[in-house]
Amino acid sequence: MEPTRGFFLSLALGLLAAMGIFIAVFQLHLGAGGNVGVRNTVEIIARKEAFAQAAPGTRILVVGGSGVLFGLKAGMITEATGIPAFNLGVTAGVGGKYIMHRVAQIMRPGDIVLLLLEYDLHDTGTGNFPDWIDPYFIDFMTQGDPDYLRAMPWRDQLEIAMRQTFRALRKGIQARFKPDKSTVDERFYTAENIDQHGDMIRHHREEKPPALRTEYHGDPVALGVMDTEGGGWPDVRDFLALARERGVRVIAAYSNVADDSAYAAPEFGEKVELLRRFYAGLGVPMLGSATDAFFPGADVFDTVYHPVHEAAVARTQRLIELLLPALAWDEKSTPEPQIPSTPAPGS
Amino acid sequence: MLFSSWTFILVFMPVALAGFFLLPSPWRDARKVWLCLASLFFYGYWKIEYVPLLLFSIGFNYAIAGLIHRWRGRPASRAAMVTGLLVNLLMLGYYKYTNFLVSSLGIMAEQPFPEFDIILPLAISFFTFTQIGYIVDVWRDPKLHYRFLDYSLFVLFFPHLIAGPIVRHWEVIPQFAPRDLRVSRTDLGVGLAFFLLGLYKKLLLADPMAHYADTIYGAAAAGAVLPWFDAWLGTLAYALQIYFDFSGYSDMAIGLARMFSIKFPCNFDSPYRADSLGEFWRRWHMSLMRFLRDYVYIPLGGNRRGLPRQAINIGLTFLLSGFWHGAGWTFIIWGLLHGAGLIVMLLWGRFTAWCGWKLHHWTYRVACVLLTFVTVLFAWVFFRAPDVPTASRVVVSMVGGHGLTLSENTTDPQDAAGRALSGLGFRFVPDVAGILPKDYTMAIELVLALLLIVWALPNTQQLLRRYDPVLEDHIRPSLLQLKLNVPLGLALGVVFFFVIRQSFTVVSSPFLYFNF
Repeated sequence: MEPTRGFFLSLALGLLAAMGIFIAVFQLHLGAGGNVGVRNTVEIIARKEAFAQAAPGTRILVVGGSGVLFGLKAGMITEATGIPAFNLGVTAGVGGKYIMHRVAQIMRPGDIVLLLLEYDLHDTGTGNFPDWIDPYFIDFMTQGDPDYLRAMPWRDQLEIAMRQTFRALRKGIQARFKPDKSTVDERFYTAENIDQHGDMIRHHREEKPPALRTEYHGDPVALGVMDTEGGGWPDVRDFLALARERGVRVIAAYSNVADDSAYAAPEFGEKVELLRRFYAGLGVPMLGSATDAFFPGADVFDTVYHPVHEAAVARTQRLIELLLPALAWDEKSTPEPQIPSTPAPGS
Repeated sequence: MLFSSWTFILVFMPVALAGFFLLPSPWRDARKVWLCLASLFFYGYWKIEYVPLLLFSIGFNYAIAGLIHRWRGRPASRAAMVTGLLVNLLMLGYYKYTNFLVSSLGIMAEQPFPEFDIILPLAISFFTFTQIGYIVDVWRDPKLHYRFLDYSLFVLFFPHLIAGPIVRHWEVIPQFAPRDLRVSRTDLGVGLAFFLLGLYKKLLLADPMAHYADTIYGAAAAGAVLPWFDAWLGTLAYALQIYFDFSGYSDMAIGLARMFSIKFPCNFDSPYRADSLGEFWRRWHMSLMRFLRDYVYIPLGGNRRGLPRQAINIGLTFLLSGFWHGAGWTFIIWGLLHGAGLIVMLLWGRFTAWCGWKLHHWTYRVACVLLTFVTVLFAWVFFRAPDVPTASRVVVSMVGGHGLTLSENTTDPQDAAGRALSGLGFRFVPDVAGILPKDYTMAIELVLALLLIVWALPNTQQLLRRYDPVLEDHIRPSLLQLKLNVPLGLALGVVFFFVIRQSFTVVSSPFLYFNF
């Protein structure tokens, strides 16, 4: 018995029809704002960038993931240095490459970038698409910044489209026809909680929601693979090269993270040293030590990257003490550090 | 390159098919050469360093078969066969079992020895067994002789190279005749349907179960005391994962071969519907069991030398089966459990015959199917667990060694269901596996849905029975059969899109049988 003549044609038609419907639905859901978390992040970014862009002259742009959003106070830095500082920290779910891409859009010659990227934004498999695939990243690219998505290589676009969940597509389509104005987000990431320096204002110890007032059990996120050729490392190199080209000074520091007994292991020391040498190799000073950025488990607000307000103030104070001498150093009085195209840490 | 990866589906398979279809059929070997080259590329794509080993294995075994053929009737023929067997087994032993031997010696000496840095070449168990079967057959029938190109394609043919079915030369090589190696609409249609249904099983049914099995067995491996419910859920999840994974793989292999007009033997025939362990093994990995029956069990004497010897032969055959699946004590225990189960079944059969019992009532059969399934589940615990202590922990939890316990995330102990379960004697304990409440609901729904598919729906060869999809003439009949027509084409086209889409989301999920 043979297949009917129409079998192969209908198979191709079925495939094409399914593809066509999927492409149409995907296009329709782009930028529709079906994800409340993404909408909030977009508003936070817009608010922070608007404040920063309104400030004339030299600025200090504090850059990183949500460890910066929750863990540093740009207002305190402004007061201590006399230079307007802005906290540009956003959820690391958008990826390190995107975080630096946004900063690149607003940085001006003479600016100072204080870079505190999370450990895992450097690592292999995280912080860089397509090695790192996270549902939030896909939602953000499709709902939050579709223009950035459209500018990606076609293979990355295809990968994102294919990985988008049906739930997200459905919510996107619903939002397209009936816009959802809700800003309720269980993670407090709303633009209303951001002050004029971009700092988070609602994460005091007493504001910790009851569901999150659990004992910290440890999560050594700062341990991980260190391969400076993969992951987010090339993106950091590119960003530093761009900053230098534009006359923007970059100073790095360690990312805020809850202390953990696992960090006593030699592996963590090696990782910190590799990080320091990586930045030093690119002519970027690293302020202080990794332990400066630790906060006790009891001060975790909701995740190991997010300290409560009181711990963030203490951390910022320590950072200011390190930052002031670094700012006083006159770059022009010393030879310009060379940025190798493919720096080998430790070389 | 996995059958389920988009590089295979969208690049390799279309190119291999296009080459096959476009090559001129008058040049009788062109399509075979093309398939050999495509298969070598397919194998080398994983690790090119092991291509020479595969080529050596083919050349060596073909040469040994040639010597057996040339020296037929002389003692040297037997020596050549034994040499061939030894070299194959030594090669398999070196790559697969050296480190197992070293670690076992270390345990016995109570001092760990350093292990060797040996990477197991992909598919070595499969291509070694395929060729052992061939040289034994040539020794049994020295007139047997094939052209080198035919033999190479028999071993290399990519649909079975990596994880079977373990095909026999007399099943496949005769189909390489130019008049058979043709382009046919039926072959392409049936092959595509098989391939897509297999892909669907792999990506949309097997892979989602892996998450639950991995999470629960991961917790057990980390030393957690699993709640009773978690232990059963994890084991059921794994049983369904490996079922749909291997069933999907077998369908894809059969479908791929059929696209190139080659019929493979049936390899998987709804094994969880078996009402005895013996029947289970006539339905699960059928080609391996045929191999073990013909080259191990029967040469050992089979059932011809009395009951005790038959029991020993069963035990030895399944010990070898366990060892073939993996170099580890868990696999050996898994094989021995099946062997022991089969011996018990054998004795039970003799006992019922002696008593004159006629056990044909449907309730007896249902009970037998359930008992067989539960026995297979307990054996899977050892197959899945990374080590014997982990397996023991899971088994202890499954038999209620820590009480009838459920994770607090399974359901709220205070709601109606929670109170009812407490009333039935279940005890709620803190979650240890890290499964969220919504994931429990999803897992339970998935397990129930997949069990319904396993027990109630026909398998792929039954669905496409009218197209003679496999070499076997007899396929169990089924009420539901598919016709390769426009509605099915449309449905398969839509399925094709979804499996392509799913192949993007599965970053690294090799078929479980790739490990063996």
